[in-house]
Amino acid sequence: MKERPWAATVAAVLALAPRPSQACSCGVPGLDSALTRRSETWGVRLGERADVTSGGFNAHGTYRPLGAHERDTTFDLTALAAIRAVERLELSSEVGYGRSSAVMGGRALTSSGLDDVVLRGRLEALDEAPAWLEHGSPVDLALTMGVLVPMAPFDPERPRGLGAWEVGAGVVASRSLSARTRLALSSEAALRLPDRSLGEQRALGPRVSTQLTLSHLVLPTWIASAFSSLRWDGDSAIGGHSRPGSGMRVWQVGVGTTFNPNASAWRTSVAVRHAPQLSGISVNALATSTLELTLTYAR
Amino acid sequence: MQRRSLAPFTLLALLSTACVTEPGASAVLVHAHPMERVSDRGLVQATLEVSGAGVTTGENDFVLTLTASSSSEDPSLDDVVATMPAHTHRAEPSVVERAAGSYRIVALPFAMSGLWELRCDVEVGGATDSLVFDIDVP
Repeated sequence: MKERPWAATVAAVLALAPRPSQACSCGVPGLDSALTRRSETWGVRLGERADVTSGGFNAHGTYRPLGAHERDTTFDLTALAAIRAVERLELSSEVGYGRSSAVMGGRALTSSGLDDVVLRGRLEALDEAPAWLEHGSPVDLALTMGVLVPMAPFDPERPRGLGAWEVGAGVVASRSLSARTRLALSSEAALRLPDRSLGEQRALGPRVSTQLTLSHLVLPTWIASAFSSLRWDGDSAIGGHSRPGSGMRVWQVGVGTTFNPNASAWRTSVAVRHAPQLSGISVNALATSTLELTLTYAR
Repeated sequence: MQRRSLAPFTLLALLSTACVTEPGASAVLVHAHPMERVSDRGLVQATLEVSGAGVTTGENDFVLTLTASSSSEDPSLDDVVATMPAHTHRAEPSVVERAAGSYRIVALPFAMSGLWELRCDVEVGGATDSLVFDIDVP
């Protein structure tokens, strides 16, 4: 069998990728990550994530920093389990538990509890052909599917979850730029089912997320990456009426690194993401900086 | 060495960013410029004014003035709720006080920047109607 140490390490970095700005912790974990190598049959990953909000973007994309006495932080512990029943197909599930606290305009708000549950499938459809071959796929290509189950308890002041079912599908394409450098582009579209989380009929708009990741093999066991992501949520409808301008857009940039000993079943990663405080790109969103640490064991 | 094409990435990037559009129109509510609305069924005309310099994150006070479009009866305010649908936020004021043809909406909390929908259910002449204000919280 063809060993692909890059696949798992790049996937581990992709796994750190774009979660939406944790506006009220109602984010959707990325659906594009693989946890296991093809030579492995199962794996688990624990992650700890800290989000610190510096301000917000209004409907016109104007950034406003938090006031001197305002703050907004969230800490989440996540657990991801994956199985690879066949070599090219990985099935996984992620659960999380978190606590958030904020002081806004003199009001102290806190919430804690389960996050939404995400079920994922990832099919590695095509392998990038070696550079010396004239024919063959120019990229590694994976197809993804995901379902978000709204398990987080509803808190109207500090909502922790999406409050609706979400079904998404996407594609992850990656290719070598050199012997040590790879470029990956992941893109995903998702639809949300109508719900009544707000007390009346709500239809969230569709979501489209995309991320470009550049990874460099610094050492045989160490990869450094940089990425940029953009997420767009369409306008929502309340009570059957579409609300123009209610959609969300978030741009984030980040860096990450993955330590992946070849002979070990253990991997560890750290990533930092940041929503640039630039007016005109992100709208209806918080400007959040995120630090995420993960520890993976896969066999 | 064979030159590697980036065409697949370019195509995917274009497809992804093509879906990103500008948000619709909404207003930042400031004290000097109250919002005026007509209810969904046209039964009531309303003016919403923010107390203080302008709307902001945290608690806000408003004055809502209601005028019946055709009925001789004074409209009444039955319910006030603010939502930010994309982030599943829902907020209600602490107090709604009635005073001489207007209502004072006290301590309505906006948890984050962005577009909030303030919905007011009203009643006039035995008929119900709704007012919706789109408020862009800076």
